[in-house]
Amino acid sequence: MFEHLKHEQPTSGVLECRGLTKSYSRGEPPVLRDFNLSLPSGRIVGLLGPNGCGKSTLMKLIVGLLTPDSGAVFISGEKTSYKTNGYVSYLPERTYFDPSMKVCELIKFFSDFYTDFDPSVAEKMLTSLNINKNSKLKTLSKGTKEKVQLVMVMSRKAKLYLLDEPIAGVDPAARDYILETIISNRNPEATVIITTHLIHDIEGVLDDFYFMGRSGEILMSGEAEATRKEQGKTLDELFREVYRCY
Amino acid sequence: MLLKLLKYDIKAVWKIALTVSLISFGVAAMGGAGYAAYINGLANDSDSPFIFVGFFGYLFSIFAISGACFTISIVVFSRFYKNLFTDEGYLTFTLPVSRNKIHLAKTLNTVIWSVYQVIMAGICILIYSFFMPKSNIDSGINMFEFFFEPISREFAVWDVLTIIESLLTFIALALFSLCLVEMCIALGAMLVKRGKLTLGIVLYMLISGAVETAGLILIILESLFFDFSHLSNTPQAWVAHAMGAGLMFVNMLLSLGVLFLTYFLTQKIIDKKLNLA
Repeated sequence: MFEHLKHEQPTSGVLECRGLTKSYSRGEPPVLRDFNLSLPSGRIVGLLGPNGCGKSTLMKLIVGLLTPDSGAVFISGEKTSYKTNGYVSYLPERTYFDPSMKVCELIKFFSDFYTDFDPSVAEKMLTSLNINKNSKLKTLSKGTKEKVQLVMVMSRKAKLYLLDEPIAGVDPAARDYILETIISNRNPEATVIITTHLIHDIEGVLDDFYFMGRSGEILMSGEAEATRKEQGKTLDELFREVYRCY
Repeated sequence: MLLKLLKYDIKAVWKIALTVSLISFGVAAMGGAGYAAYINGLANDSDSPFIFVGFFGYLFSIFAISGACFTISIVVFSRFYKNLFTDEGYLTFTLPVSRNKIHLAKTLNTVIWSVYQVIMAGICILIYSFFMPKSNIDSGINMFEFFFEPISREFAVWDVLTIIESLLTFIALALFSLCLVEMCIALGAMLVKRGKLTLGIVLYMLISGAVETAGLILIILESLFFDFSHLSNTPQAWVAHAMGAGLMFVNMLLSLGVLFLTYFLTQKIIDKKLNLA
């Protein structure tokens, strides 16, 4: 039905997934099967799909948290390894910092390990969010912790940003600020991949979108603005339509 | 990067370790004073109940210091578990650092704090000795000399090779006991999604029990090649015979073998079988 919307995959780019297959246990169907994706640099990409379709699994494969059963991931032409973590900035969908650390200690930690981390950007963002640098993470609310995580991740000048459900845990009022933060703080040559099911909230910032099926296949993809014009619908409406059919 | 990782690991433990140490030194001083009161009371045929308070205070201090050492170990191993096998692993394993270095840094941190505990216990003993009557210290030194004197007398038998073998065996076994805890935590984390740490503790109890049983079996097997009648002779005869049978060398190889096995099994789990939720 939407075959005409599928774009030809670029042959090279900041991210390339080749024939990725991943299953969590033997005998169970793979979460991703022969998954291929190629993304150019400088784009904001929405990886959209229902729960359990493999969005987070794909992110974990890209940063090397999971090992694929077959296939490979390349970042700027280099096979994914701990070295590529030096230019991939990843925000998981959970709180993942040591709660006993202070926010200022986190800034020091990121400065120590990531050469592309800019502490002044982090401090500026924290100030605008009214987050005290001397607070311990365990004293912060869940939403504030998530904001701190986003600040840390977006204060890097990475080539690829992977944001797994960045707005799911924050209140609607803060979502706009977060999206603005993502857009204004990213390296302009970098690609940002955002996974979410809150399409309505993020579709305004997306350059491209990918709808993922339940077996990790790409059901539909395209340029966000062109698709909206062509279809006369928002991505949110299109998403509901695609997954109603699916 | 290894040093940076180590720096953060040490930084996370030092405050607790320092607090625990200072408390231990205070407890050792109180225990030592209690022991001195008890000994003096006995010497003076005192029937004051305070001499028993002193004695129990001394006993309590020993348990408290052991508990303090245990607390540091718990903090170090819980950090190993949390940083690698809980949500904090999402940060640890997305750092631009190889997993070999991450594991090595954690193990070095464990070793450093274990050495620290030995030093802490040594200082506590010194504090005890400060309060003890001179006669008690002298008898302790005499016992020490009695045990080692025959060896030092015939140093040629207790030669350099044996010292190296014994030292390596001791170090390997000490490191093995630390790596075994890490391996069990990693195994627990690999096998289940909930109750990872509980399974790790159960596995540690099972495996360490099995290792001790294997050690006993090994001694029985070694007895087939080793004439224990030499034990009734001087220590140097025992050592000479053990060397003749190559037991020191075999024990050293076995100790190093189990050490490397546990270390590399943990590494394998970290490399390939991470089970982050």
